Amino acid sequence: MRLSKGMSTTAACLLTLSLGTAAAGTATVYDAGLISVHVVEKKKEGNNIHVFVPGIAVPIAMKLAPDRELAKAGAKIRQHLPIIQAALEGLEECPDTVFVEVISDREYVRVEKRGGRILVDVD
Amino acid sequence: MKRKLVGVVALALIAAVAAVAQTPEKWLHVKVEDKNGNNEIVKVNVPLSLAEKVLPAINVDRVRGGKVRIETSKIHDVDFRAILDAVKNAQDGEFVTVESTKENVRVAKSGGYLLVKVKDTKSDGRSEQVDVKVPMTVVEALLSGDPNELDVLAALKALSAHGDTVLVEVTGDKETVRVWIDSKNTQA
Repeated sequence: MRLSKGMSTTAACLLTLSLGTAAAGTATVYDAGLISVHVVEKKKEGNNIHVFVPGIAVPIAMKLAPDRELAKAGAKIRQHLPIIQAALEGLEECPDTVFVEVISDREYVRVEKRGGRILVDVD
Repeated sequence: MKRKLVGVVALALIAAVAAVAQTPEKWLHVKVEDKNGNNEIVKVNVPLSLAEKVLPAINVDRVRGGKVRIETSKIHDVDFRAILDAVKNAQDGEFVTVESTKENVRVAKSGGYLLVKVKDTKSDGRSEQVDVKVPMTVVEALLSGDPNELDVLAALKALSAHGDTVLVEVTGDKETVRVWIDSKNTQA
């Protein structure tokens, strides 16, 4: 199929625009990162669910939350932000390790950092 | 010959500085074994550097910038700050000894450590022993601020600079607690 000069320019522009939009979308997704949720059911024939959510979904979901509730939560958490930030920075520099382990007849709890992730195991 | 000597001294200095710079990360470990009911074991491992980072960020109530404000250091009319100050400047020796049928208490300073030993005997015959061993450098750092505050951050830094040591050991009939510092990120 041959396109006239005007048509081909328009098509090229649209293609560039759509590619550009796709690239921008991809860039936005990767800029915001991916949230990985991995759930393993520790029982016979238990489910093994792995979900990846683009980080960009978080601010979108935040837009849907009622402003009043967000303001309340924001005010509550704001005073603790420096502590959370310091803790996260410290954790980032920490080598992989088990921070907490609770072993008893009734339960097992383990909080560890492994491969850049915080893993919480409760049995 | 002189040149060689200067070279050797310079190399030794560089090696010493490098050794200090490579001081391994210190970890605070806590292990609690409770044989009551569920036979629970709790293990906690925290790098001191993490605590050093988080502590200055806590500015709530009496905790500000790694320091804890104390209205009074008197508990049951005993001025603990004054006692620690006195211990800091004293020679090695035993400062407090209490001996009774129910309780034995011993507070001493020895080999650069503040030592506290408490043995508590219950009426049913069960007993519990508490041993606390704190490096004097940590005590001094703790008291390095204003008279009305305890410099916890300075104490943590002093603890980081200190070698491996057991800080607290509680041994009871059904419960044991151990708090110690070393360079490993796990408990053996």
